[in-house]
Amino acid sequence: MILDCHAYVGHYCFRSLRYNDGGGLVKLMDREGIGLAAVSSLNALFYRDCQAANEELYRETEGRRDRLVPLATLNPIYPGCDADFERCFGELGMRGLRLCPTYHGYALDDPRSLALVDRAAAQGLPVFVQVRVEDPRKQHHLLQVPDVPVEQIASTVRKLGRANFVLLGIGMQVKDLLSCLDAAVENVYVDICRFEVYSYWTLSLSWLIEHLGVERVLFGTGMPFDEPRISAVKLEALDLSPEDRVKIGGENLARLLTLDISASGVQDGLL
Amino acid sequence: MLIDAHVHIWEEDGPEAEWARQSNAAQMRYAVRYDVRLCAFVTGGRLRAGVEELPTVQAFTRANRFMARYRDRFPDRILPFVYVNPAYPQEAVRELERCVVEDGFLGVKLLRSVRCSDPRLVPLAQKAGELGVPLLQHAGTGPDVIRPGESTTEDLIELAQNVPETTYIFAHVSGGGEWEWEIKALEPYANIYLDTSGSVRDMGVTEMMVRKVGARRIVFGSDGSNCAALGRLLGAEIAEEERRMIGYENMARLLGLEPAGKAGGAL
Repeated sequence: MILDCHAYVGHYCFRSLRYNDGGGLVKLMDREGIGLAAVSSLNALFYRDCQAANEELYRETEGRRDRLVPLATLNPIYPGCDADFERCFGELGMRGLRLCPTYHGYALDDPRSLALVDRAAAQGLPVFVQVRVEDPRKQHHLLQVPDVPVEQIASTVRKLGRANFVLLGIGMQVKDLLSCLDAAVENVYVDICRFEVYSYWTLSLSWLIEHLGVERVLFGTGMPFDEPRISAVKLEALDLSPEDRVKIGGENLARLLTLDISASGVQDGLL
Repeated sequence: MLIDAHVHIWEEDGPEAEWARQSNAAQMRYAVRYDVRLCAFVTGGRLRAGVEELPTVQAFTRANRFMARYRDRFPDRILPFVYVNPAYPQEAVRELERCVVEDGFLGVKLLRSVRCSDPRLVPLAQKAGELGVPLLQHAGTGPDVIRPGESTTEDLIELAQNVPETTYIFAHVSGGGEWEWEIKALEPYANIYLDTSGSVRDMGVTEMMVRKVGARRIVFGSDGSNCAALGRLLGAEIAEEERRMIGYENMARLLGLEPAGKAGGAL
């Protein structure tokens, strides 16, 4: 069984998606042999009050939380964020915080964002930073969203060493990020969706594993926005020991989300 | 067995020789691992200096000679394509003919030297048709299609209408352009095939291509995003027969190779 750190439910303004509700996503996961996914809401990128999207996500995952682990998307510069935090983590039992600074209009290292990250870290919640959703080359003219700047990520990671950060959709700029940070950084995790195994255009996954460490590389697909089989091919193509394949394929994420996977088959199954 | 319609190979000399050697070796590892034959071209080298877009006659001739030598090293894997700059119309036509007739090249690749609706491309496109080789054209629609000499989808349609006896391949539908636009715009033009390559991982591209233009006009390609290309083909919800057409049969037909791939590999 594979665990996916990067999945969505909801709609995207400029393209019709399939498999984009809770039931559909589970069907897609079954197709791909993915046992469990950390899921956030695409709608939360666009709603002014993203708590409404968290409530939708909660309903979409209801009855499916053995497969779908909901992440709360919060906006630290929007009124009521503290109460929303309490609702998502105190009442709804969400397992991680997702931040979308370039969609919600703040800097990741804004003091209000840092305070929110620190609060999540104090509760042992991992912080997922949505570095990119859609490739900027093909973004609609009404929605030109840059990647989260490396400098802001570096500044945040440096200031909040006790938080664990999962960088969703980061690509080649991870090289700049790592050069800004201490080489021994142990609280940054990266999903594999934008890396290749053989490419001449992008950084290779082997480079990422070598420089970040196999403990901090996570299987992620971006489904159903992105085709999940692509990340499955990457994981399969990597020249890895069975132990390292299990780490990237699920163990690392399970540790971050404090999931008990002993009965879920992550140690064997498709891996 | 697969045929990959879109593979860059780099000249292994100059200041980027080591990078080029590693990149080429990675492509060959991919070819062996997934049993792929590579439609490969050398776009003048010097990728990161950006000079490949406007090669001189000397530069593209040298690139093609490197391509021929590289094919000789890996004859079972490499299906060589000619690379030329249509800003030199006579020399480009001569080089195309020399490479196809004397060196056994199987297609021609054009990048961003000249927009393909430029009249200087007409004799080159005519020669490709005369020689029976496909013309793989870098093109796209979207905010990223902004570089001088870069062709839009509509530029390729114009060329394909002006020289209809030639077969064209629209490069990298998943290369960062607005693929829904590109697929719908290309649907009516039977002499334009679409290559699936590119780094965009959007779900549903292959399915829409099959639905709109039909599996017979789609060819598998990677353009360096090899796993993305494989995942896009293997994950697509299409019939196995359509997957085989895209993965091998269509390109084999265009290149005059044996019609059916052997079992094994990624398919």
